[in-house]
Amino acid sequence: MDRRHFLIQSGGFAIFGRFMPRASLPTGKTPALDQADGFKREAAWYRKMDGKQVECQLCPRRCKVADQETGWCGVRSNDRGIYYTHVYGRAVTIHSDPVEKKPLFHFLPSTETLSLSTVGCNFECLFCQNWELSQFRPEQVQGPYGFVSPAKLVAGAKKIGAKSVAFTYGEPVVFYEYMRDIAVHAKLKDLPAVMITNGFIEPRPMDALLDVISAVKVDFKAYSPEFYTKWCRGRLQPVLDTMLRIRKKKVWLELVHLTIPGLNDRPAQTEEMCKWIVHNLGPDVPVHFTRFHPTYKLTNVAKTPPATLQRQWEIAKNSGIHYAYTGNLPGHDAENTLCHHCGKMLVQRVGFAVVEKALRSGKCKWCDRPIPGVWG
Amino acid sequence: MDRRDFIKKMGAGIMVGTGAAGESLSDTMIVNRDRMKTRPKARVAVLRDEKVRAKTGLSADRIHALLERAILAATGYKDIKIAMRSLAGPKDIVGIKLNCLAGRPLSPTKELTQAMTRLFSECNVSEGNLIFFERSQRDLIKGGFEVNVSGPGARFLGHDSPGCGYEPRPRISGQVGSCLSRIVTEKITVLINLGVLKDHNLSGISAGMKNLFGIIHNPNKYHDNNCDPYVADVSAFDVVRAKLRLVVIDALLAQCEGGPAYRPQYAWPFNGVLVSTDSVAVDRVGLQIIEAQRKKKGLHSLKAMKRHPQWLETASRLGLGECNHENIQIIEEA
Repeated sequence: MDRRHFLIQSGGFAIFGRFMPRASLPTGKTPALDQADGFKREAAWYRKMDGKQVECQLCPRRCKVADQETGWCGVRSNDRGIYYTHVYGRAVTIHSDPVEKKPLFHFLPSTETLSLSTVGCNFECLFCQNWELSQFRPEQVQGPYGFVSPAKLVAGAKKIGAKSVAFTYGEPVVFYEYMRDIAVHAKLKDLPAVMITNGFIEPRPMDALLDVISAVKVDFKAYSPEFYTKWCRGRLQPVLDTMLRIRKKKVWLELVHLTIPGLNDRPAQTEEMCKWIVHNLGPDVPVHFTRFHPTYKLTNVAKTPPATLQRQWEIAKNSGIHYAYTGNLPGHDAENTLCHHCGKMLVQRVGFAVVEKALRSGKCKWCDRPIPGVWG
Repeated sequence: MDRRDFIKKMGAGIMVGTGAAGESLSDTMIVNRDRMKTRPKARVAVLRDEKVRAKTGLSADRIHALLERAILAATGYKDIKIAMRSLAGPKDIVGIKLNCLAGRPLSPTKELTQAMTRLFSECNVSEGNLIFFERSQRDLIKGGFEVNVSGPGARFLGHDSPGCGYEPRPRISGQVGSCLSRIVTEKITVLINLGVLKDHNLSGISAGMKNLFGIIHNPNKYHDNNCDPYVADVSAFDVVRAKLRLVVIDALLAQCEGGPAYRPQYAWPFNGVLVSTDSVAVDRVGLQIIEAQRKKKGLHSLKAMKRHPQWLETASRLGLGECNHENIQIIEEA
């Protein structure tokens, strides 16, 4: 079973009156034309140009899109000089997950988060674990839900007792308008919204979004511009800028580094990355080093050896990062949160499950020092 | 060396074809006889008929005759049945990739698809063995066609039609990694590329090869660098090389600027079709027609606009066809 099937099939919650079937590649029904148009909304961030062209201002790619053409992300297109998103309300997967699965370890631990995604991405990581969502266009993946309004989504989250809403799996930047409206609705219902992102977004839309987002997890793929260009077809600097922006706005931030053997696991590079984090974001930003599994276009690279992740974790600790973790290695000690001050166990985890918590009002139960995070 | 000197020095320049309808394409007709001895030229038929436009609309009969003459010219046969059989036999399933992105005014004309259906039928490829296809049913409808998934006659399918879709895993060709249309990989045995001659704001032109972006699931990822080398890489997929037999470019109405959408102010009735078995050569000739019209309209060249389709040279290097106009024989009369 691949990751997408796992995501979709493993224990769906009957939020909308049925269990979550798998989203399918387009082999079957086609939505009626009027239904497809129901997902269409004018994009929030673009400018009009001569000759009915538009420039997208949502992500640093800044696509210049001719009439009837589609942006790089595949979910936005120009129709006679107006730029539209085609994924508003078009969630193709909705699922209730432990928040630890995002991973967010310092944000409302052991709670469920209602997680959703549309298709599309403004990167093309050759190792994408969710490529069957991220690398397809809206008309190519038929979700089971039809139009899911922000209000309905938030009501569903409340109904199942989720403590947050997560924009995840695919890249939420590309469904910005939908994400923003859900986050606004959620905030009105005292439900925090979290964003799991590559961080490749322009400053203005990000600033506007951070007003309604409670936590962000950014994929820090490598501290290497070349890596971003070659393996992700993106750029590093805008991602660094986004991380700084999140910290400046005092929104909770965690980072994930998917460690791929031979590509981004050099100790020196890891050390540089960790030093940049400590220096620019501070030592309290948690960093997760997660295990790579061969997929999509990177199938000739082996899984990350546990020893490599252990080494990454040690480099992070030695570089001054207070809360470093390993991921996709169930049972490893580095899944647990230890108090940076007294070294005692604060949150004990097995996989995504929290088995013990020793926090009181966001403070260490043992030494009473505050622990960075959002603890509820 | 300028062109005049070049022709003198080669000492073998001949100008062929004055064209029954409008400007000549003879600039491309410099023949190097020494080369001809060792290497056959790519044949591109550029046939026109100003009478295709009747008062009541396009003349289906004249378009049929035009396509027939163009296929004969492109294949070099004198008998249309033999020419068509060289493309497909009775057991073949023939897929014809349309380009309907610009909507009805600048999609392949219905009359041309009907002419193609008739020509194949006359050489024993039944209508039921013909599949006209596009990226989506929506695109087909935009282009003025009716979706026909299982009814009588030729089928008109989108990749989102029942039983179609894309392969589950990506294939790699050069810098392109994409899931390919299952219509192309599984349903058909012969591929015909039926594009439209028009300007494209990124790739320079959209005629034949660019139209094949519609057989991959992620064309939006391959518009950087004026689509070079991506357009070439898509045509270089093994399955495309193996199945593609003919390129037909609908230039009854062509467009020299503002593409890929329809811009009436830049469209003009070329009243012709371009046909070739050489994907690169036919696009190369299409480029010249577009450039000539741009010049006539007082527009800068695509090169000056930094939109020259460099992917043509790339495609030629990949062995997909002939890009050098000296090695292209344009046939304007048949």
